[in-house]
Amino acid sequence: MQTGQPAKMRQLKLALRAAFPRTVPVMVGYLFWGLPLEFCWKVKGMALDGLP
Amino acid sequence: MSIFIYAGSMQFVAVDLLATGAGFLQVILMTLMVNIRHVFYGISMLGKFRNLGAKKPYMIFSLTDETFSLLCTAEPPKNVDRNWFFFFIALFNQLYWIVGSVVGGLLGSSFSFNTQGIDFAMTALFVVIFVNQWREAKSHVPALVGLVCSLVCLLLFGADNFILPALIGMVVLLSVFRGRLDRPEEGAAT
Repeated sequence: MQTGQPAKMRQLKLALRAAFPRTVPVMVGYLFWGLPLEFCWKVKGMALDGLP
Repeated sequence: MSIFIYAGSMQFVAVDLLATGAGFLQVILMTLMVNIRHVFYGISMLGKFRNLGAKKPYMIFSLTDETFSLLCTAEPPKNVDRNWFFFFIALFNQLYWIVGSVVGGLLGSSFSFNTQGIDFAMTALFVVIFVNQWREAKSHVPALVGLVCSLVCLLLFGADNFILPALIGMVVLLSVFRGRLDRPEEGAAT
């Protein structure tokens, strides 16, 4: 029972480490995502800078 | 917005819908039309999502174009739990999405510049994913079927209307030739 939890945590860490490199191209692409959306909001007068 | 609406094209459409005060039914129909390609994504993920347990609803919610592309070919290393591996791919992608939206929102509100061509970032992203899949795939036939269907439908229906017919074409062709595609070794041996 004591070893169950660390074993599960180890599995999670392994899955996390294996998954991350696969997602790097997506990370780079998504970092450019917010800018056009913000400009789209700006055109409609609902951008973040309109908030108090 | 990016936390609750996890669909890029729909977020751009939502700007117009909110600005014009569109009705609930109109929003539902528009969302269905814009994202109907996800029906095809969902069908092809039925097998992979079968034993996901409590993670299944989140995996269905987080199935975007990019996540779908990765889940199609990504195979976990031997000692890694398959379900958690898929879950973290989807989770990482959604986190990038939210962070990208926040960072872009903050940067975009603090300065302005000519954004012409910035949409190419997403095209470049798909090219990178495609190249990775091409290098890892044992058979290039499905990729070639996808390319040919897309090009033919692009020529026939134009840039604004080609995705849905192309997806239907791919599903039909891959279903018809499924028997051969499932036995590449046998085909190569004979």
